[in-house]
Amino acid sequence: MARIDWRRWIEEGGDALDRDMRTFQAITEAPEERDPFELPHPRERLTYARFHRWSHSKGERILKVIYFSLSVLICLGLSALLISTALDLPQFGADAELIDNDISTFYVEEGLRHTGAMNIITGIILDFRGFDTLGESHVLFVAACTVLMLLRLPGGDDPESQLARRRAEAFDRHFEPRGDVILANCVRVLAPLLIVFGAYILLNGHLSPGGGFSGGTVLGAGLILYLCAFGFARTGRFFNFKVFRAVTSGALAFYALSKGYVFITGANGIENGLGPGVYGRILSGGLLMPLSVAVGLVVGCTMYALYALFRKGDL
Amino acid sequence: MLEWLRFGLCALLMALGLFFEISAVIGVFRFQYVLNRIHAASLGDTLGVFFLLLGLAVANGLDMLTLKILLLIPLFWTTSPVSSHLIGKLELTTNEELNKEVSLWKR
Repeated sequence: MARIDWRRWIEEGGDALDRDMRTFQAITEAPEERDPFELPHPRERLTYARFHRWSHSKGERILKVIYFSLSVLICLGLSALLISTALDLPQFGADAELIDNDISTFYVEEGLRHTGAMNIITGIILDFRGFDTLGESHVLFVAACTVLMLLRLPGGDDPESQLARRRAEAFDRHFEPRGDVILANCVRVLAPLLIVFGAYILLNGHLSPGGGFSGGTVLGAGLILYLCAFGFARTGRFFNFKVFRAVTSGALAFYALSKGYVFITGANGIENGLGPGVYGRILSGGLLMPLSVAVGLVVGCTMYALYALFRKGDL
Repeated sequence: MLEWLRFGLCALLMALGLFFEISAVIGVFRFQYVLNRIHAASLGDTLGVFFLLLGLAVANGLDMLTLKILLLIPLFWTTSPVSSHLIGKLELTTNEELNKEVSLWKR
């Protein structure tokens, strides 16, 4: 399909718009409907029918009972847990408990000596509570995997998946600001600055405000801006599905392995050779800088992948 | 004396910036159509931010922070008009009843 030019609509009036809409609909109209549950092999059909019968008679009733009792039990258990926790909280306005709470003063006073991080937030996130951050980055990774499973277009050669890909391409060409000269010239200046700024935030996270999550968000924003201006063909040269897979799983594996090393050595009282170093240097704070780079890579790749998948269904 | 002069200049610039910002907010809420609205909003994003940041720079004096504040002005002046342009272009391409809203200019 020829690229739909908005200027032509304005100059030629409504006819050009109608013509373009007709070609667009002709490309994107749906194929003939097929029953997606129709199984090709007779034995498969027989097994399916047996399961169908079972699940509609006895199995359905059993499953319903299990489902209802489990949902009620889980609901009651969770509310009991929440209520008991809320009852244990200190009274509103009573600050005696907060003064006696010495964990926060410990973080503020001893954080620099223990972690080597000038920015105590990074020290808490990646060192004292590194296990929590590991879970958070895995949550992001799992979210990206789920969106990949749900939205990624099939890559086969059969006509249906070819049509799906062509339709996504047509939508992308029709609605996105691709080939916009003003945006392209602006992004040519801005995107490198954004990506360098994101890398600075990542690398400097233990010295100044910043760290993995914010730096990764800036990185992802730079990539998304580049994609908006130049389209999938240009970004696909340096960021495609293979790169996404390698970077995210590599960063997560590095995070998990290094944290595991620190946990094992720390729990057994072994010297791990990762001291806090000289405060204020960029190569200090032990594992903080590599860890924040790993977290930032995961966050940036996830942001970019979510945007690209929701926009076109492919990376 | 010099301090008072600087304060006066800063206050003048900030008042100008606030005037533009307030008119932008009023325009965004009072106008009904997208193109009118981005006209008002981009005014606040460019001139209003320009005068406010200039007032902050005057109030701060000459140091690194002022340089950073002044560097923000080109950033806002490149990004905000481009985003307004994209919103306007999207409105042009996707609104099928554009003739009802604006009178199109034919060459």
